[in-house]
Amino acid sequence: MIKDITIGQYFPGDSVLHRLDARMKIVLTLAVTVIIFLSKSFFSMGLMAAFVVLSVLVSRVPFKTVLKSLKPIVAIVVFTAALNIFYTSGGERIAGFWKITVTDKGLYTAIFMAVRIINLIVCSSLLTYTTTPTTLTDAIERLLSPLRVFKIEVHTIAMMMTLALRFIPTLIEEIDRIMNAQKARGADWESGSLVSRAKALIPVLIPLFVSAFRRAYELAFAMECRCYRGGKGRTRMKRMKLGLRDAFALVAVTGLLGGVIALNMWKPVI
Amino acid sequence: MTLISTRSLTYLYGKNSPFEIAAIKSVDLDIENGELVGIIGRTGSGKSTLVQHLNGILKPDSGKVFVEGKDIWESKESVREARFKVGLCFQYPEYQLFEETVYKDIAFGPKNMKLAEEEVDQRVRRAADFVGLKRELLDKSPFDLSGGEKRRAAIAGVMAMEPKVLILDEPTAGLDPKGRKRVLSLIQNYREQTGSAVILVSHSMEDIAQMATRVIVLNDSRIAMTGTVDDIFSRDADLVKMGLNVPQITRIFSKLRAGGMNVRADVYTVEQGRTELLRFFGKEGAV
Repeated sequence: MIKDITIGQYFPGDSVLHRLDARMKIVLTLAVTVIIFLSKSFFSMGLMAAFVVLSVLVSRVPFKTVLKSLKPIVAIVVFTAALNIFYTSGGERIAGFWKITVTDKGLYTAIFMAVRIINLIVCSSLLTYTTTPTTLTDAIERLLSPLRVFKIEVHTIAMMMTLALRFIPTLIEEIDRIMNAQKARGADWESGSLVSRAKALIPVLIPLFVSAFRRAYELAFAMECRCYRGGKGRTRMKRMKLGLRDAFALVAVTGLLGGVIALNMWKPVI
Repeated sequence: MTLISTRSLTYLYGKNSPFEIAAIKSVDLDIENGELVGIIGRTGSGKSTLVQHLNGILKPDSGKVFVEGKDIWESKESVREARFKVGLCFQYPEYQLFEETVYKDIAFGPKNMKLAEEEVDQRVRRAADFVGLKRELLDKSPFDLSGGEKRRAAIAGVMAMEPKVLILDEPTAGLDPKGRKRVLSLIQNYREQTGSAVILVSHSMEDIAQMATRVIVLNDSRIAMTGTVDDIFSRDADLVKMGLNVPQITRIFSKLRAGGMNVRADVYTVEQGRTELLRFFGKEGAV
């Protein structure tokens, strides 16, 4: 059923990572992403991988769930790895046939790139695993609030994002209902040519838009009834406060940066 | 003749997850020609899930559904066939209207049946007559109709397929008393004129008592009781235990009896109540 699609992949929990200030989490995720790109040697990338694995362990999100987030990029990883194996020149030839040779350098680059991509994805999905979408938009609003200087309505944008996220499951349910109702009248979007299949979606899309607009009006009325007037002078129920935990996380990531730079320069004698 | 029968029908929600729960459990059901079956049960008892199996919208996790003796999940074609033989009108059907005109919307079902244009035209007009939509409304946009008209137009969209069994899931929900009465009487009309079986899912004991020739009570995903209106509503204690009740008028009459008036207990509609009161007072010579 269409309901099974998951959007926003928050994994409920109470780990240190879950309780970390969302703003700090966003900033640190960005930082770690940059550090991943700074890692140039095998050792620094190894350190990065260890850090990412450790973060997953700390977050107590099951590895199985994390692996699921990797599923969509398997193709990309395999593709880049294959390209790197066959197209990296130089190094010693270790295998090959006909005109294709595989060198040790190519193999190393392939593994290196694959680990890099996996690190990037796991690291960023860890952010969405440990933070609810609403907290996330809240934090984005706070982080972007300096833009107010340029007359950008950060609050409105954040509210729009929150509402959009809130209504995704509702609309999915709605689609499900409408599709069933039209199916009961013999609608068929599983057979026929591409054009006729696209046409068959009209009976679903029109009622969906109608009801989305209806909901939007209702929501707008409800918000006005509760005196919503935008972000001005609005106080918050949940205040975000930086704590010791966040300071510790900052130090840890700074340490990671130092470690990566050091390992980049370290050339072990083999 | 048996139109629909189900054998040990089971459907699970959230299959293979920790939240797995049976929406309906081993339901055996037979719908005979010309019946008007009322299905009652509290919210979450599986009424809607059950009726969505009867025309193949939902696929059972185990058990079978037969329409006119044929297993509907036998092939792709048989499912489609079942959708036309068993017309299902969902809750709040007006939200499925989509065409430019009411006429086109009612014609959507018959057109999907690949009927000839004349036949489609006839069916649309007949269905519109059944639900009492005036001819001039047919050329209007469905979004310009009133709430009650929209509901009737949507019901006409299912009726136009002229199914052998018409299932209506809460057809009167959210309508005013006049609209309710209108919808119920059009269902009655449709049944009398076409002779098709009707399944009516409802929260309203009054509606069921007034219309049904047979009542099915669902409780905790299973069929708890089945029988005539009399069979079901005479077991008021059991019904209350299932979060249901008997019609208001029945409650009034049982109070009257408790208060010492010798009236009959098997009064389920206001009409029956009136007759009974007239009889009672006529005999006693009071008023």
